Amino acid sequence: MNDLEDLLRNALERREPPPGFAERVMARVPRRPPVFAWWRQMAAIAALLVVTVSSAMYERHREVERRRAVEASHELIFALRLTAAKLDRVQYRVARSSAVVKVERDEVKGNL
Amino acid sequence: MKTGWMAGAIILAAVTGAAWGQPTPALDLSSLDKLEDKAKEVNVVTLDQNLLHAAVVFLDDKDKNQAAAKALIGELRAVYVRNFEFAHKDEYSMADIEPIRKQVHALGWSKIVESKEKGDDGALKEIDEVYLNTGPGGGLAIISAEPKELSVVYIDGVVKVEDLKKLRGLGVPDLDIEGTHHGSPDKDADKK
Repeated sequence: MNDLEDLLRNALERREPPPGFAERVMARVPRRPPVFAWWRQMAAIAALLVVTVSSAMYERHREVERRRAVEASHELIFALRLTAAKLDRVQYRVARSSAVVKVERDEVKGNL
Repeated sequence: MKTGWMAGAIILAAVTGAAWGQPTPALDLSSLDKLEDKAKEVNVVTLDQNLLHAAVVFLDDKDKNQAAAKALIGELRAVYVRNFEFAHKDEYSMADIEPIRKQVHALGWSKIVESKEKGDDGALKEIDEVYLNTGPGGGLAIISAEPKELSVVYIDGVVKVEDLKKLRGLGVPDLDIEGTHHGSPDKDADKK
């Protein structure tokens, strides 16, 4: 019985691993190829770049649209002013010719 | 891959659809393009419906004239202006505006006002004409030919007389065009 106990005690006794055991185990663990990590980093950078460039392009497009709209509002005001001026001119000329006709008619009546 | 093609087709359809959506103007003013080289000052305005709606956003509601302009734009499809100022007389001829006059006549627009002035030689020196399309599509055209200035204004869309009157602040006169707006026959007022 004592022999068995001694045998078990010896077998289950705490022992320190031999020196360099942890390094040897880690050395045998297969590593992921470094190429994969590089590819993922590049993909992330590319995605970030696409988002940044798209956002900048969208903002630029909006700015161009805004400028064009402001320009269009100026053109519209110019167009309406010109329309107004030309209608004014037509009215003046029609009124002037009507006045001339009236004077001529009055003169004819006076002569009669 | 299939989704990509479908998305492409949808975008293409939307773009071409938008292009087709733009109505063709009833009046072709391209006959005036050749005057651009002769004129000392050229003002060309081409505003389609999209640009008109974009421009409206920048009109100031507090400004009475701009607010009136906003009301006028509501039913307009496009605004075209060709304005040429020349350094000397006779740098353009009446033949240059003849294609446009022919077009408005062919379209059956009502000439609501006409004013002509002839020179000593009997040739037309100045001409002002205002045409109104009294049909459902609407439209207003002004041809103003002076010795050193030529202007053609074409407003595509329903032009309401009431709204035009509101533009008085911009200098619009009180033209008696009420009757013509409701489809009266051509009023050729040949003034000389």
